[in-house]
Amino acid sequence: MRTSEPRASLPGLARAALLLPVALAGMALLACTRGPSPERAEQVFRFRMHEDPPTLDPALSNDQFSEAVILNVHRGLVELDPETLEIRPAVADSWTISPDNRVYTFHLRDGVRFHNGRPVTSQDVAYSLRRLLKKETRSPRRFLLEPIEGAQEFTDGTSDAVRGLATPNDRTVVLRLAKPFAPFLSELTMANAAVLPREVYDDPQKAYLRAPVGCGPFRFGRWEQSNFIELLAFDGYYGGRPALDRAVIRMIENKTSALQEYIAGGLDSLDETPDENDTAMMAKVGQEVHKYPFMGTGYIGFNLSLPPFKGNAALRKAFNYAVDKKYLWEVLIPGGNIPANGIIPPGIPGHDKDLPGYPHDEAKARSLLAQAGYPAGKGLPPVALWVNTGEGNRQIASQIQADLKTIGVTIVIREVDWAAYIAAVSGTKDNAGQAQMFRFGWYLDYPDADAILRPLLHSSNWGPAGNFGRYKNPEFDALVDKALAVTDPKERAELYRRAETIAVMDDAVWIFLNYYQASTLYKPYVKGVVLSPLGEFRLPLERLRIERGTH
Amino acid sequence: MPVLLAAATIVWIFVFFLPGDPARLIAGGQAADPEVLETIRHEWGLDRPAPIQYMTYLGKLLRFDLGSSYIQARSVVSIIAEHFPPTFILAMAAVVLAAVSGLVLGSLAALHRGRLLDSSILILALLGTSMPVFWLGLILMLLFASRLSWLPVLGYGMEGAVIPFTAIRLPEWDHLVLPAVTLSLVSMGTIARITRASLIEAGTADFLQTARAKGASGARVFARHALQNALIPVVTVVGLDFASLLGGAVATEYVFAWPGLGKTIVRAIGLRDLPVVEGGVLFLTGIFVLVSLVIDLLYLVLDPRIHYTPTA
Amino acid sequence: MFVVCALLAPLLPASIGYDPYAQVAPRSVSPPTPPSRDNWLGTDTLGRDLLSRLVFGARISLEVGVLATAIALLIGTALGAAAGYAGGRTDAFLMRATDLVLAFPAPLLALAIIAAVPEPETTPLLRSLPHPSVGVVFLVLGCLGWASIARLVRAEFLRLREQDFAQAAQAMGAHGARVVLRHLLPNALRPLIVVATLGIGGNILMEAWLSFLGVGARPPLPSWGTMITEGQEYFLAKPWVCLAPGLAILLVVLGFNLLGDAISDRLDTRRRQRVA
Repeated sequence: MRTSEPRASLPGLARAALLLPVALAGMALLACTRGPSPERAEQVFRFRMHEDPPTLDPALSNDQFSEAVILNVHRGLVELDPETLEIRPAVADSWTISPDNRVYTFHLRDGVRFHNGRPVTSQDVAYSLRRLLKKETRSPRRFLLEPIEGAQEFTDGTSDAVRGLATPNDRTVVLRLAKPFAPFLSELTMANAAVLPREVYDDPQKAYLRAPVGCGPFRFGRWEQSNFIELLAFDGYYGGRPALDRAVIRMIENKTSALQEYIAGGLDSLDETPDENDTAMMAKVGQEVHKYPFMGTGYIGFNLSLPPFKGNAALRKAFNYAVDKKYLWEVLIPGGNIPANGIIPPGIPGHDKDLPGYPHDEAKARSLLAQAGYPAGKGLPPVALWVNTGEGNRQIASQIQADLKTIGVTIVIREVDWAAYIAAVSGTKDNAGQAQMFRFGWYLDYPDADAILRPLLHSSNWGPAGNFGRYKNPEFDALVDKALAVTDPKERAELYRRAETIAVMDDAVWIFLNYYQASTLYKPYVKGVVLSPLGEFRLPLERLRIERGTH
Repeated sequence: MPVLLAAATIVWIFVFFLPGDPARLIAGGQAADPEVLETIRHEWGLDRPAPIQYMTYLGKLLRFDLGSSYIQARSVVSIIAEHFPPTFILAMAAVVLAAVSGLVLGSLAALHRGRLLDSSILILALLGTSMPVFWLGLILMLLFASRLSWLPVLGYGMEGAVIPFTAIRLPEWDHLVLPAVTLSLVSMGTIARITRASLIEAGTADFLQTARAKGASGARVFARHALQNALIPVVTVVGLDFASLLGGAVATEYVFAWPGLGKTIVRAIGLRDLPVVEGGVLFLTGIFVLVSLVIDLLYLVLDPRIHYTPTA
Repeated sequence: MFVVCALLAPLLPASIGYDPYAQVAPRSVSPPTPPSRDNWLGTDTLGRDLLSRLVFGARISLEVGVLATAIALLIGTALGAAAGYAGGRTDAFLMRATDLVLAFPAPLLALAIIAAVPEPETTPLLRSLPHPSVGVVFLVLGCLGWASIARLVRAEFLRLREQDFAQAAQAMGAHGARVVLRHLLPNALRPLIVVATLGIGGNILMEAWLSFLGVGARPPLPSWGTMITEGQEYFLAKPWVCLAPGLAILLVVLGFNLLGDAISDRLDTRRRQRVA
């Protein structure tokens, strides 16, 4: 999941598993007993999104806002618990993995129904996975199912069936991988792998884009674009009807406006928090601010195919030492992100808190700059730093501009809208793009170092596929590849640590800026909040309840 | 009609040369592989030579088909249909507010010409037109919604009435107040000044004196003679203001989270959702032409001295 | 007159001793810092002296306002004069073009065009300007803002053309360009001055609007619009960062508007005197 927004905000919500072990099997879910009693006040939770989700089609979802909705409306075979980050049963209530780590057998839970009332079968699972792989679907996340045997042939159209996908009966799904792939289950937890009812998703008119149907805890209510999305509790949810009757997502772009709306009571939660130095405001809502780390890293990428960074590690190190990350995150924009020393964020196996990184050191920066061939910046033409439009980005970019000015380097900021930004940064296979430096943030889709090292730095993703910096180091590649086939967690973590050290200390592939920390407002009457390392948008709505006391 | 055709052409040419690869956007991700991009280009006709793309575009236009959004997988017409009503309602409310207050203030100023009231009204009128509108909006929001809690902070509301037989939902009226007042303050000034100027031009003061001398009631004479004279330039300004507000309310829509068309087009520009940009700009141009026409017709009603002789 | 003074004051170069780009707030305190003896208006979101930026920003904002209006004036006058003087088909064609430009939602179009130039610093023509990112703004605003001026000039020309002196000049065999430049244009100049003063204010506001939507002057340039936009994040906590540039815009635009009014009032009286 990538974003160039500097502040944290993440994908979807999910789940309800804590309450319901396996005992639910066979229960008549439609006759659920937890319906709202007449005297009970309606339970509504309203939160803010910056803008409409780009899509509500699970297969096409590739961003945090889309997932925020999809993971509440839909469920896949398995899900990632946003609190513990464990993989938990969802539509499948159990599974087995063969000793050679290649065959996954899923047993479906009984009594799972779509919002239209129809029971979920293994056919639906097979349909949904095939749909994700199908060429015509054009999913940007097709690669999630790539490890399944025969996936490529199916996508290419040379085979009508996915060889590694079988449904021996109504309640069983078997997936066979071409070779062992450690994070495969994690990949199945993603919104893209949601189980969909064929009768809705085969619609050529694509009505499902505006009225999705799934088997998650909430059914889709109304969507008025740029205004709100309304989700309604699903009485037949296999995990039991959620306590909330409704969830309302309100689209509000302007941060200042949104903050005023939260204070006025029009929102129960907000993904922005007030300035820490505003004592009056903090006295009012300070108790409602929740801070928690989440899995993501922010950085300034160097384009290693373009001058002046091409083949000049000393220059990249000089830039790193010149930028004062501590000032940036502890003084200039306090209360949010944590200064980074590397790539793998805290909490992920492989994170190395002892990695020296590049603490602010002007003298070192100057000497490295001279070593790089540009003493005091002489001879170095202005370097372009690309960011996408957004207030936070501008402030960060301006600070970096000012920091580098002190060692004699001139930075020009190119602040452009997202489309122009991504075009300039990604370039093509043969064209390195225009962006010499670019600000980027990466949120890990699941808690595994592979989910950041591979997409951003492995040479197989070189160029527009995600490795925008065009980093290529066989030694690094080998370590990351080796880790995938290793099952011992300790050994894997060690391999990732070694890979990270190469990319950070030897090659200085980025300016390592920050590990993300979410900072979210919740009204005190909102109970059951999960401060997820996956970010505020992964809040599992079905665990929430509103306790306002008496009105 | 020729104006619209020319407008369509210019918009198309412009959009055609915008940098950024639409195929990549349609693909939904940044990391789509080249083969997928190629099929998309083919499917959307983006690989065809420019003149053919242009002719296709014109042909569709004739059938009021503005194409489909790259991002949203639905027709541009339906997007406009969803976002135009909120903008229309907001602009309408703003213009009515501005016209009424502008007429009253302008008349007062004219009647007290040269005195303190006159100059204070003039300054007041200018204040509104001299501020960045989003700045004004933020200040009004802070004052009347946050500090005083008289009005909702922002939004369109969720529970407004639906107009029968349409999919159009009205805003909750109290949500409309702040954005409408913000916008109206911008055009109120111009209207007040025009009213004042044309009343003075029409010699209102002398009018009134004569009329009073003859024993007629001041208010009646004022309404009957003077205001009628002033109405024509005012109508022009109001009409054109209204038309430009439809596209110019963007900043207000941002500040107050109003689900309007202007904001939709601005977002589409940022996302390179070119059909939406094309369609939206063209639609607003068409509306402008339409409003100008209505203004011309209103002249006929307001001033019997004007006749249109059909030429060419 | 004091309005004119207020207008000219910010034009003076930044002479109060602070660099508008230097981060002067102590590194231990989160900017923006409140007004103090060293920084009369406090510092901005990056700890830079707000007053210095305000003074320097006046140049940027006025650059946009004045140059955009100048361009519009140039194009508008030329086309309006051509239409008004030549009449006939030229007139009809030019007026249709004018209608077209007037009918476009100009702000949106401006936004789209400016968004289409992601790298003004490397774009030919713009590159040579002192502030390329500001250059693209005033060029675009100028090129979109000429239509109403063209209409005005044409109307004036139509009126003047019928008057004695123009007829006389033509009768005496003066050729077209001469009649236009020597006789018609000077007489149409006064209403143009009014429009121009109003236009400067309008264009300053447009720049602020464009900055709000993210396509105005690029950092670290301090245009007033950019400063409001940067400051509005802190609107609740540290309102001065946003209020100061907003008030600056308010005062200057108000000044231009009053100036325009004053000029047009004087024109009116003169004209009336001439008629009397």
